[in-house]
Amino acid sequence: MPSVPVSFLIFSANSRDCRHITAARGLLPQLEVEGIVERNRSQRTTDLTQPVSHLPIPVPIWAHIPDDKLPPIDIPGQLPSVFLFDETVRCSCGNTKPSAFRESHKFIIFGLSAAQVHQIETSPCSECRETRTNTRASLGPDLGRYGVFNWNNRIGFSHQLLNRYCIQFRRQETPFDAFYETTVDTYLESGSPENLCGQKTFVSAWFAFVRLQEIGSSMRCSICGPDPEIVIVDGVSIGFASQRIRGLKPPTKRLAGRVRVTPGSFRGTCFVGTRSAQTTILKALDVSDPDTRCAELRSHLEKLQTVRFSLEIWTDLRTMNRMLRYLKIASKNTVLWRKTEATNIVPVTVSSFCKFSAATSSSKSSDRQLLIFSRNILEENLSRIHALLLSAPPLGCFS
Amino acid sequence: MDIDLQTKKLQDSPNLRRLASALADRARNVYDHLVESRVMIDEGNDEAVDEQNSDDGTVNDWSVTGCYYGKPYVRYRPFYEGRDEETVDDAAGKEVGSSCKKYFSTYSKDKLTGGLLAFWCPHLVCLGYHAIPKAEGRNDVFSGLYCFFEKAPRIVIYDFACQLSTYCMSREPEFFKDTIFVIDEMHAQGHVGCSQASYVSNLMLQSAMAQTLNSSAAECSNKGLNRIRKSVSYMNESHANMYTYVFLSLWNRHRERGRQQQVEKDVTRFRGV
Repeated sequence: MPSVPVSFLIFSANSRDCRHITAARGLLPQLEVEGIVERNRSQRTTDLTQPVSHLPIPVPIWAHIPDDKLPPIDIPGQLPSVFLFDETVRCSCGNTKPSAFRESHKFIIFGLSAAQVHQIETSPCSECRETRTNTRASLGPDLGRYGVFNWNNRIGFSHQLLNRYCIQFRRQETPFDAFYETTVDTYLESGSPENLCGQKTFVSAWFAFVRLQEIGSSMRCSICGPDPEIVIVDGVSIGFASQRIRGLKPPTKRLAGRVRVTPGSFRGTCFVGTRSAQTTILKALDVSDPDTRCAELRSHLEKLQTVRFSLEIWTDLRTMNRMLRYLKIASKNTVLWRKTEATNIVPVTVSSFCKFSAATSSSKSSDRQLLIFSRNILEENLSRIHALLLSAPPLGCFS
Repeated sequence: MDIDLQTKKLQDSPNLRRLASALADRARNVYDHLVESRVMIDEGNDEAVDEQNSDDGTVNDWSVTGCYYGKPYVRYRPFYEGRDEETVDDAAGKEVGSSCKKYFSTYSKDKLTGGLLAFWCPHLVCLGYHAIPKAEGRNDVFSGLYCFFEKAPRIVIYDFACQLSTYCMSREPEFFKDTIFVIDEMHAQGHVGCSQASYVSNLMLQSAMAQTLNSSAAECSNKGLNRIRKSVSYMNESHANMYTYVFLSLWNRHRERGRQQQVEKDVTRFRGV
């Protein structure tokens, strides 16, 4: 068996392992080879996300607000023919220590309507010589003060071009492809000495550019303040492929702590009475003639008025169930109960009440109950309630 | 005012007082019940959650989490036993026994994420947003308000507010006790069986604050957001997060600049006068 470390490659994206890869992983131990290192294909490819420019980029004048720390760049009219080494040099790997060796080579700046060819001074990077980085291991100046975004010491983009895409997609629907093709045509028309870079590079550069740009918003309205009184919420179907979800963490997913809430329906909590009662009262309120309105309101409110009817049951909760069944109170009528103390008045429907009674009949049979009926129910059934209680000791009492 | 009319209006007042009294009693009873039926089992350790999340560098990194409100979490959402495990297809808005038939199934595309939930102020400034992995539901609005707002807003306008109100009050009654949930005017047409209290038009009759309100402001903003819909649908997660962030930041900056220009214009006009 070989003693040197063996590595194998996975030709798939990070979390989309195919079945054959899973099967191969399972069979690996059978090889009885030590020191196997698993490498992903992505480790071989060049990292195209890190530019040479690294200093914060101010927002353009058309998006500048007084809160911004950096003033908009005053771009010089004429760019130097050679961009020399300065204190802002860096490699895309992050190394800022240049070697003594300097070299000068071609540097293309992609502008709004044409490319410009300049020279740039670079120095080899000792840190990332072994790895594949965007700059191919060379340090170069930031160039932000010239309004140029240095991508990889060979090509750069004018801030105007990258900001133009921001203007476009904010004002109208502009996919990258449309903007890119438009710019390519513009270059052709203006007789640019160089063609625009590839679309993939342009897109990567734009994202790297806006990452450096201090374009963020405090998400605060200067009129409403930090705690707005009115908030309007709406969802919009802007989504990406769900198979590409990696680290989305909405506030719904970040949980801390546990709270127990009594389960049950809250359908009837909005208004006293049934939906028909709501409708009749609303209709009565809309009547234009005051006399008729008064009369109708009075009549409907009479039905709504609740009368507190205190009933103390000391031992037998089954009596309560019997009574409710006997009264045939429809489930839509609300019954309120309270559990001993006057502070805890809870609205439940009759069905929920019965469930509660059944659940507590063994352990909490001595709880006192307070029933609150609508007046019409009470008036209709007063004699029957009284008779029922008298016939089913231990007795309750009215108050 | 006509004396007779005034007299007759006064005749109404005892009835209205009784009605208001009944409603107030009811509201108090319901609120007391909600508060008392809520028991904190485990307060949770927000700092521990922060640390746990910061291990992978995602605690407040909007470019990873797709969630940006311009401020860190004020509090985290707890798990509500007795509510959250209900077999409710909340995302689709289908609740057993719910009278409202407004569903959000049209929002869920098969192969795309659930979309974006954005919070707006009446001046069309975006107050925050988060990406929804599967489908929009009341939980998204509840969590956004509860986790990032120090104090609950007085008025929340949402196209599913009729059910959102119950959802929020049954979980955090104390936090939402002074909040009114209403459906915006545009979506109100689709809510037939809902309470009159759910419509913003009725609130406008009563509240001076709501009278000049553009309740469909979010729709205007969403129209703007639709400009990035196609581009985002072809992006990976980090690009989609960044793209959305840039768009909304530019949107807010544009609103702020517009307001400042208006102020300057008003000042100039005032000086001229």
